[in-house]
Amino acid sequence: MKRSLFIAGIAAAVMVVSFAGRSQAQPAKVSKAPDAPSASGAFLADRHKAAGFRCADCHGEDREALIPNPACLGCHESFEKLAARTKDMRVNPHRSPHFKDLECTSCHVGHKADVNFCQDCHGPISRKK
Amino acid sequence: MKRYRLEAWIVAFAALAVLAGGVQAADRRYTADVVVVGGGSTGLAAAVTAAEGGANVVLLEKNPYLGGASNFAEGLFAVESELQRAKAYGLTKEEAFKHIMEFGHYKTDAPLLRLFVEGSAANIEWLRERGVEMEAIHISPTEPMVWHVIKNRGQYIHGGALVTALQDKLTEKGGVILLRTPAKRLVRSGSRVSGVEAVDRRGNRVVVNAQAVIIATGGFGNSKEKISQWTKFDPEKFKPTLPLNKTGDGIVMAKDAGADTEGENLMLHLGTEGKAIVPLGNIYGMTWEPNLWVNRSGERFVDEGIVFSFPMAANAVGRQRGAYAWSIFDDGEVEHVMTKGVKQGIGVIIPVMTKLTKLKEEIGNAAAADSDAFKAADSIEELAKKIGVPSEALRKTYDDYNRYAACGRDLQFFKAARWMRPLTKGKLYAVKLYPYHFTSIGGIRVNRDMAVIDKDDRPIEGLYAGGCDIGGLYSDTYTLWASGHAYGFAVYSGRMAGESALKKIGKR
Repeated sequence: MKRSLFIAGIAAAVMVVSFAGRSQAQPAKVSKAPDAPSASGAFLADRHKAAGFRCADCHGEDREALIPNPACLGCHESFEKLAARTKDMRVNPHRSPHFKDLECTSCHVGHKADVNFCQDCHGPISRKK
Repeated sequence: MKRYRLEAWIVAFAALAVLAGGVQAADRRYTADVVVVGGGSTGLAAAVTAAEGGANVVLLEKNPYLGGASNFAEGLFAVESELQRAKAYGLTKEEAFKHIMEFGHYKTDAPLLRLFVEGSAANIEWLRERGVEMEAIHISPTEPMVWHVIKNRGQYIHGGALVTALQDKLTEKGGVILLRTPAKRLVRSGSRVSGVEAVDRRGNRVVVNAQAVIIATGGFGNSKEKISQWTKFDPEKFKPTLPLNKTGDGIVMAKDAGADTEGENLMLHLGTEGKAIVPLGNIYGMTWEPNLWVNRSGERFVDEGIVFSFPMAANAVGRQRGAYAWSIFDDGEVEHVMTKGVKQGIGVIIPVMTKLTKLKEEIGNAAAADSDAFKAADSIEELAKKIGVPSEALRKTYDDYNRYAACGRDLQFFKAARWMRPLTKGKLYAVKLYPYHFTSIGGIRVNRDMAVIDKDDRPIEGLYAGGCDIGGLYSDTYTLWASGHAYGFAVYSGRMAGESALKKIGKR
């Protein structure tokens, strides 16, 4: 009994330390959504523009139109290819076990800061595993 | 004069062009045979049935993904299925139907339930023919083997495997899927429903004219306002499990068209939340185990074995003052679930026998964070203080419970001896139990063809509904005995609504 309490105490102490470490690290990670705008304030759309794309390349003729997934995947190829790029995230958003063809714009808003759609249910998700 | 007239014409023409352009930008129009409102398992089953029968189908979905709650639910009710026959399981349709009626105290729609029970096995075969594989299992030790759990399909798990299989089928059959396009109102032509008006994310109107409209919006579980208006529950205390944006849109639209409704309610279950509590983690898993439960008076209130029927367990906790309780266990129980595994778990997310290997780590984290939903103590008095219940009362409850456990006889509530053990090893822990709901249940009244009916049982022409938008299936509590009832009925009613729509357009 005494020994098990001692072990439990050590375990608890280890957990406290590891938890403290995590709670310190977490907020910084959470506040920065994946692909958040850079320090220059450029959003996804600005980066595409800087790379030489025109509005119509993504929007088509109707500038007001939402970007359909095929427009993104026309260049970014496939969810599989994207998943390979984000394989080190704790939850790989491009390889969802729940949804097929989740709209890209669920996270990649374009003209505003990106949002982390997975966090709606999974809580704060760090970028690294 | 001539010049003036020409100018007038130019102005008029320009105005017309602007107007036309404006209308074009604000209005997208579709003409279909069938329009389905909501892309969960009900809507997808309806859309696939209609599309396979040769109908042009448009499916409107509010979320940026298909499936809704059906992505996360896990299994479908069926009786006399081939999967049960393969396991030499003998429950009959007759027994199941009678039990379901008894469970609902005959306050439910017997003809509709009878048809569902009759068609439940064919429902499973229909899904299997479309690439959804399942296995018949018991949801818990107290319920029959009627739960047909969906097997993973490639990268897709749980209900996601079913949803994506039907999504593929609908795409293959040429169905048009419009995501993030919530329906706002039904289009009427006299007494007939002739289409749906929706709105896209830019606020543009999307009008779908169709001969048949199928409502499948999955209930109202994410609307506090609707829960307050339509049920007896306090939405601040009975919260939805997941944020799925289900706000009763279909029920409201049907009501506006003259539909009758009944039985609005919630499918309750237990859970917890709080500081340093991992959602569906190991501490959360302990909320579905038959530990010692006490209310805020520090007293037991039920045979905790009721945990094996999740809606009843949440009923029992939900009626305690404050609508919460504490589940108490000791280091002996921690050891047990870490090495031998859980007695119940939570569905197939935490299957029975799962070893909660992270429990000690989570307990450490929760204790370190002084979690509001989890407390640890060295004595029952200390625990009483930490969970805010009268110390003397909890001491008595604890001593009585330990005595009952030691002699194998719960003199208070007749809890089965196999779920009881004296809580005398190491530290004591308490996790706070709250009621949640997986989905709302109850709503629109339909006839046996899934046609929406008014207060005189007259069908509203062109309007059908299914799934969790429907009333008449349950009484005061979700029928967990018929495990997977809601999911089974979603697919069944979707298919039947699809068949009815095909009849309506002359393709059946």
